Order: sequence, then C-alpha cells, then structure tokens
Amino acid sequence: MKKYREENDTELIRRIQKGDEKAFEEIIRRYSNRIINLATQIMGSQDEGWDIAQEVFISVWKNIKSFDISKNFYPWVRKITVNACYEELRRRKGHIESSLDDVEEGEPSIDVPDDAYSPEDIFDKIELKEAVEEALNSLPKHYRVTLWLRIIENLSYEEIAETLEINIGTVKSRINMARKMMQDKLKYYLEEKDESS
Amino acid sequence: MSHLSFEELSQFIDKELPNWRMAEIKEHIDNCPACKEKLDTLLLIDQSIRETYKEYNTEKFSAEVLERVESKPVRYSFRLKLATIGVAISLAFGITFGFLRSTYRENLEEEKYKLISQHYIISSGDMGIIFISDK
Ligand SMILES: [Zn+2]
Repeated sequence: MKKYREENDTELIRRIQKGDEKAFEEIIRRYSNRIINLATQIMGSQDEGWDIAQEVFISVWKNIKSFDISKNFYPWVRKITVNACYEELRRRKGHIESSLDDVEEGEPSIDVPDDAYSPEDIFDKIELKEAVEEALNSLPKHYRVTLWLRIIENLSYEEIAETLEINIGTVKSRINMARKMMQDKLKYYLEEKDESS
Repeated sequence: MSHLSFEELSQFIDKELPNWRMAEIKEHIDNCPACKEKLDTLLLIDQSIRETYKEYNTEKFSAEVLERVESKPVRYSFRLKLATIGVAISLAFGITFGFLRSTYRENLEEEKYKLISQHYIISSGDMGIIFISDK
C-alpha cells in the first residue's frame, strides 16, 4: 500500500483503469471522508451520507475507464456526489425535476425549526460544537450545502455555482443568508462567550 | 464613514470582492472596533463549522465498497437500494439533464447549438464525455 500512497491521483487513476483494486483502495482512503461528510450534509443524515458515498465510489469503479485523465479527479467525484444526493432527494419528493434547484424551494420554508428549541433551554447545556451542528442541521438544505462547499470544500462562488448549477448571485445570497441564520441561531451562545471572555 | 454591511463582511471573508474593495474593508476594520467585532463573530462561526467536519471509519467504508465491487453477494438494505437508485438515475439523467436545463435557463439563445450537441453526447451514455461537456 505504501507505494500507492506516494502516487498522485493521475497515476492511481491509470492503475484503476487497468483494474488495480489496491489503487482504488488508496483513492477511497484519500477522498472518502470528504465525500461522506459532503453527502451527510446534503442528505441531513450520517447513515444516508455513508450509503450514498458508497454508491458514488462503486460508480467511480465501474465508470473509471471513461474518466478523462487530464481532468482533476476529486471535483469529478464531488460533482457525482452532489448530483446523486439531489437526485435521491428529488426522487423522494415523488417527481423528477431536471434542475438541482428544484429539489427545494429557494427560500427558507417550514422546515426551519426556528422555534423548535428555546436557546435558554438547550444552548447553555451543550458545547459550541453541538450547538453549531444543531444550527447547521436546521438550515434549509440548499443553504447548508452552499455554505459547506464554501467553508469546507473551499470552493469559490464561481465553482459553487458550477457544482450546484445555479448562478453566482444565488450562491452569494445563499451564503449570506446561511451565515445570517447561523449567527441568529447561535446568538445566545455567542453572547455568552463574549460575556465570559 | 458608514459601517460595513453583513453582506460585504461575508464576501470579504470569502475573498469575493475586487482587490480595491478588499483593501478598503481591511482598512476600515483596522480602525473600527464595531465592524471588527462583527467580522470576528463571522470568523468564529466559520471556524466552528470547520470543526463539525467528522472523521469516519474509512477503513470500514473502504472494505464495504471493495466487497461490493468484487461482486460478492451483498445483503442490500432498503436504504442502500434507494442510494443505488439515486446514483444510477443521477448518472443516467440527472447530471447532464440538470446541467442542460440550467444552462438553457441562463443562456437561452446563445447555448442552443451547444445544447443540441451535448444532448447527442448524452445519448451515448458515456459518463466521461458527459463530464467533459460540463465545463
Ligand atoms: Zn465600522
């Protein structure tokens, strides 16, 4: 396995295209964590994130021969992941829409449980990390995944627009709104931190 | 001197403003404790989100994937079946069709011929080609 660890993606992909499972294992080792995290954010559940990520890698294995070796590998896998998740979400909604954007209504809707918890009840009992996870989870999916691509995947607005097939203005406003909502949801906690510091 | 808006601070963090505006904002922040505080709060939120990134058991993950590609019989859970359908449909239609439609929306006339040619590519079902067409 050691020799594979020293190889770059392109070299590994060439091996995988020839059916080398060890090389494939190395590619999984390199990227699966990011893919599971991403899929989890979109699906809103770790179990489903895990399952979709598995399907993604299996489809990578099956379709690797048609992958253009001159391209970067990870963005390709990330795009497959985003599409697979949205497709699954669309399927659940009971109809096939043709744009990622149709999965969810653009603006925050009833699935934002703003009043589902009282900050006083909960935030003083849990640590910041849990509070952030809770807040992140309560964001509308579109907002959460856009923010995730910016902060964790470190994509520019333009790259996010391409990945999600939306325009840059929408990316900008989603990130802005997502941060506002995060700040709002964490207000109590952030104020507490200020006072205690 | 008016204070910085939330939007601008957000774009400042993301380095999504022109250089001249980035410099102006930087200067404002250095001289305005109120805006500095707002910026710090946003940076703290970003940092906290980074910390929610999880480390999964990738060895287990890898073993499960490899077991399945070696086409040993696998007990499919309902959940897994759904995921499979998701990926399959996505590969067959979603990626390209979604891309086509959003492109269509944005560049209705300009992209017409390109779309037609891409559609032709799709029908060949070649995933590699699909992604090449996806700029
Ligand atoms: Zn100011």
